[in-house]
Amino acid sequence: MIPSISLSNINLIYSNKYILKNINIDIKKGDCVSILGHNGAGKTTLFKIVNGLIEPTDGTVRIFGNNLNNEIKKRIGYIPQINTFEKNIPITVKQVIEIGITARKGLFKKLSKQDNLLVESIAAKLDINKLLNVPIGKLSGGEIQKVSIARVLAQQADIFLLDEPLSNLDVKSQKNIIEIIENIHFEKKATILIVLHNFEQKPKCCNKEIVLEKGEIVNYKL
Amino acid sequence: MLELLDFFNYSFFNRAIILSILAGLSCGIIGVWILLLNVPFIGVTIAHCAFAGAIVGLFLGINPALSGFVFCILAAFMINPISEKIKSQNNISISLLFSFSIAIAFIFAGLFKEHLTDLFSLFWGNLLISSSEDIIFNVIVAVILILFAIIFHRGIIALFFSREISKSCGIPEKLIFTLMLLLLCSTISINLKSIGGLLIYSLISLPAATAYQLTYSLTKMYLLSIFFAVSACVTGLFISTFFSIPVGATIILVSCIIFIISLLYKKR
Repeated sequence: MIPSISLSNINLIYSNKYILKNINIDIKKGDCVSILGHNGAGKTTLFKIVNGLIEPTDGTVRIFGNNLNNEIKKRIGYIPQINTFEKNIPITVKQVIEIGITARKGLFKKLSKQDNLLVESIAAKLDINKLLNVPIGKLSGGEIQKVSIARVLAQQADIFLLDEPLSNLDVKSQKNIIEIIENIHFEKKATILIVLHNFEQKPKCCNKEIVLEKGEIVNYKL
Repeated sequence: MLELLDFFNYSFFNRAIILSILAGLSCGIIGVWILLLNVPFIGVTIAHCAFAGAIVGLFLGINPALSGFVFCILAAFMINPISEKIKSQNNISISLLFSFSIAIAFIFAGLFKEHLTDLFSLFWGNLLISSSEDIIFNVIVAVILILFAIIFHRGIIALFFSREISKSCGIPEKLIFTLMLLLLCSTISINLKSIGGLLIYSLISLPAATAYQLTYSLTKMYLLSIFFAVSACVTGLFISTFFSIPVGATIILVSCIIFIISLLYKKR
C-alpha cells in the first residue's frame, strides 16, 4: 500500500547547521501520529517540508506516491499555530471556511448550493454555525481553531497537519478540540499528524508517535 | 460658489475631475490590498522607485509614466532576490531600494535646467495638466483592477487570510500576489504626474486605513476606501484650484483630515 506521506533522507541545512537531519518516515493512510519535542526541535519545520512551504536541502517528499505539486497540495490540510496569522482582518468565518473550497475547486469555479450546504453542515458539526457571519477578529482562540479545522474539512483534505492546535487554549477548549480531532479520525479515516508540546494532551486516536530532538528523530513508534 | 461652478467651463478642469475619480477608484482598491496583505513598505518603496524612474525618464526624454513603470516593476521583482542574496528578511532589501530610488530621483532632479514644471508635477502632482491620454490609461487600469478584484475575489481573500496557508493548500498565491504587484505598479505609474511621486502612496494608504477603522466587512471596506479616495481627490482638486495651492498635497491633506475624523467613529 502506498504511504500517505513518505519522507526519505530529508536534510535541511541553514547557515551550516542541521535544522532537520536524516529524516525517514512512512506514514500510512489513516494513521494518527503525534509529534513531540521541545521548542526548536524541528516539529513545525517538518510540517512545512511535508506541505512544500520549505524545500529540504536534500531528500524526497512523496504524498500518496507523488511529488508535491498544487494538485497534491489540495489533499493536505494545514493548520498552523494560532498566532501565525493576522486575525484582525475584515473577513468572516464563512469566508475563511470557503478558502478550503477554493483550494479544492480552484479559483474560478463558482460556489454551488452543495458547497454552501457543506459549509453550513461543517459549521453545525463544530458548533460554530452561529458565528458564520462574524469577523474572525472577534473570535476566541478556541473558536479560531474550530474555524481552521472547518476550513480543512471544507477542503476535504486527506491529510491533516495540526501544528500545536491546543496551544493558548483554556482546558475546556482543549478538550473540545481533542474530541473534534478524534471524531475526524474516526469518521474520515484521515491521516493526521499533530504536533504537541505535552504528551498527556495526546488524542486517544493517536496510534503512532515521533519524538524529535535537535532536528533528529530520537524515538519512533510507527 | 459661482466661481467654483465657473471651473466647469474649462475642459482641463473637467478632465481633472474625471481623472480624480479614476485615480481615487484605483488607489482605493489597491490601498485595501496593501493594507490587508500587510506589505506597506513594499508599497511605499515601489511608489518611490516609480518616482525615480519617472524623473530619469523625463531627463532622458522618455515618457515618465513608462520609465516609472519599468523602475517599479524592477524594484518589485528585486526585493526577494536581494533578500535571498543577503540572507535576510525583506525589510533590508526594501530599505536599500527605497534609499537608492530617492538618491537617484534627487540626483537627476538636480541635473534639470529646463522642463521644471514637468519635474515639479512629478514631485507634488498637477491634475490640471492631465491629457485625454491620461484619462484613457486610467480607465484601462481601473477596468482591469475591478475585473481582477472580481475574478480573483476568493483567491485574494485567501491571501488576506494567510499567504502561507494559501500556498500550503495549492492556491497559486505567488501568481495572485505578482498580478497584484503589477497592478500596483501600473496604478502608481499612471498617476505620478497627476498626484505626485512623493504623495501617491499616501493616496493609496490613507483611504484604506480610514475604511479599515470603520468596518469589519471586506466589501464595505472596498467601497469606503474608494469613496474616501475619490472624495479626497475631488475635494482636494476644488480647494487647490480655488486657493491656487499644489493639488497633490491638498488631496493628501484632505485624506489626512478624513482619517482623523474617522477615528471619532472607529469600530475597532
